[in-house]
Amino acid sequence: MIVENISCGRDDVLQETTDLVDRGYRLMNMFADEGGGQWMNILLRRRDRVVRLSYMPGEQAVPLSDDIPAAMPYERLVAEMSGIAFTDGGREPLVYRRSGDGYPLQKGPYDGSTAVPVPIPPNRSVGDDVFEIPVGPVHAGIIEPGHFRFSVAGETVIELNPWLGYTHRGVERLMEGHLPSDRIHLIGRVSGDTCVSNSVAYSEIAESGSKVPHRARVLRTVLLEMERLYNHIGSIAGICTDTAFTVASSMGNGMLEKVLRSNRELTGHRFLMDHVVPGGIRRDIGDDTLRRLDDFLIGLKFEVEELYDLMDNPGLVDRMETTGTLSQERALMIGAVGPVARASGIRSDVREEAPYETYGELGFVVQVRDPGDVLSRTMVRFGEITESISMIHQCIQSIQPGEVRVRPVVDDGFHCSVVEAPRGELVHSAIVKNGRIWRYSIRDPSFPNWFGMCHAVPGNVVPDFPLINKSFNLSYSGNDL
Amino acid sequence: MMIRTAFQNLVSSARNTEDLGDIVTSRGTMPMASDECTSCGGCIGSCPTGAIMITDGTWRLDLGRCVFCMDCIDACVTGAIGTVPSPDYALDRGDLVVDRHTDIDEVEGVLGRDIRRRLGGSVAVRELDAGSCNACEMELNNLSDQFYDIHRIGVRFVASPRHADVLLVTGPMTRNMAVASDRTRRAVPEPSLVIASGTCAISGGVFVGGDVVEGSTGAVMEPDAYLIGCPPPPDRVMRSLSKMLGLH
Repeated sequence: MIVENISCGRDDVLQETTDLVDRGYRLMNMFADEGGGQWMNILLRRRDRVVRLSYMPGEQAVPLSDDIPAAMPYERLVAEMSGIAFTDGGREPLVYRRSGDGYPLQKGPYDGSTAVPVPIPPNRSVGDDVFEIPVGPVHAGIIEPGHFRFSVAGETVIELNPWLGYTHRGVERLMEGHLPSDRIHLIGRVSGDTCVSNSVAYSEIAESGSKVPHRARVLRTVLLEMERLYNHIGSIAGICTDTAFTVASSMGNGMLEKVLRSNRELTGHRFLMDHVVPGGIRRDIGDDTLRRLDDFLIGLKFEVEELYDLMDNPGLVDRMETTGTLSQERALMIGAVGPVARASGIRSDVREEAPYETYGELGFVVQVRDPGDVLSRTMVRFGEITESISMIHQCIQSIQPGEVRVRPVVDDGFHCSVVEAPRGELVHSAIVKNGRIWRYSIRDPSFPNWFGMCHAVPGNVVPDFPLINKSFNLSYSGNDL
Repeated sequence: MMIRTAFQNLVSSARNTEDLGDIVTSRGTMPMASDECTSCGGCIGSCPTGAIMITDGTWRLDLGRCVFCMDCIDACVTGAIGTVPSPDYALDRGDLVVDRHTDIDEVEGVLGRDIRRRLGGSVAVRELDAGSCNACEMELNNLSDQFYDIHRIGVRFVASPRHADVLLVTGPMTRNMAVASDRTRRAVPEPSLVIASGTCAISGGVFVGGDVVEGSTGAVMEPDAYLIGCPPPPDRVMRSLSKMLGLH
């Protein structure tokens, strides 16, 4: 990954950004930090080249969302959390939904006592036969909290707005002021099912000045793919549950449990928590354990194929086909990432574009499908399960003995790492000052994809919403931080 | 294809479901210092949540804060810290502070006879996520799969708090969820129980000190039981519910 820092004037930032976007760069993250006044940072990436565009907004920042719609959620976030004002007016709060003195991500102590809740506005769709259905934050199942507003005309959804932020725990602020190698336990628990990806992205920053042994890198790749495996299997099992296809759902959940148990055998934790650390991995994984994992995965591959055959029946396919379609054009507009983007025909995979760990040494096929409906997303996941099993096999075949942990070293300055988490491109960026974290920003893949769901649901009936939601399989805790 | 699989499953003798006896008698693990501990305190700094205390020369662990990362084992210079069987839950927050002389069976209490009789061996559980990282939720979902099949001990997860006997709370109680959590608690009909499940729900875990979290379930509602783990694995949840409510 090559990171280029560009400072520009307030008047040039729109031109610079649109130039970069025209050259094929895609917006990755936007965050504000402080250092002699407030700075806006705009992160863009094309393959393995990252550009960090920073400027001082002064009184009011330049809105980018008119030209680049994908920038809107980031603008809402910096307005709410860092108190940045924009020239074209206010922004609807996204996460914390409180107003009062001070902003949670500005430096200095944040006093939340004056904060009062900002009510959730009604949807824009109005009419005689239009009803608005509010759902959540406490849902009917065992899932994370979030509030949804559907506007329906009859049974068809015509507008959907998700209002999240209920799991906002102030992670970015909790990172600040600590040693860069000290916060692995917090990072691992930002989003429990993206633990390895978050830990790897964080570690790549915290160890950027040291050389991590090759064996540790191979083992990290194994853990990253195990994480993808259980996420995708869980997601497919969830799709079967939501379509009331009990046989396949039971089979998928059984496979999920088996993968979680092999995770425990590998690292001692069913969700692989606390195993990736800055400088390598915590404990070596023995060759016997890896061989057993390889044998297990061969068996699992047959089970996945059996599940695929089971799901390949007209009743289920009919339910998934044309349901919740996110067109390629819309996916590009909102900046969708990961399996959601790949199901809409966009070839984007960080493992291929900017290989980290040992992905550069592995052979794999990026799974791209059309046209962005529930079926395509399921097919992408099925394809990636097979690829993951193959990648873990390649890792186990090629692993060499050696060290697994060195002392992490990190220099002051700006650092950025991008990892393909199970849900897509995960971006961590940090500004390190005097050996301590000054500002840490995490962009979870679910963050842009939630807005993808707003575009995919309208036109479908209300009972299809759980299915579409499951096919996107987005994280609430990663999004809310 | 589907009919064939269904038929195969009918006639097959292979069962994934774990023996209930195995689940009930197994134990999780926790770090614990042995007699060789010199009370040097080197492990205290390695603990991300401040769960280790050394008072009067005795090494104590607060299971309500421990995230079971086992960093203290690596940090110990004398190699005195190892893993030992752990309790699964406690009815009193203070009982979660254990040392090496603690009888782990005594930590786990049984709820009063009255509430057990009124629940009648059938428990409806409503899960409430107050800001957890989704790992607790995944583990609770796994309880319904073919391996654990928690229905067989009379526990089922219900959609509405109005149908619930037990509110199982996860997460460090974010400020954004405080109002919704309070309303959910008040929607549960009496007699009811609140179980704080997982390190975050008991003590805030790694999120302690955040400006935007309340810090524990206790900030909004008083828990009746504390389930340890980060996240509590399904077998532990099953064991705990079975023991504290006398379900079999």
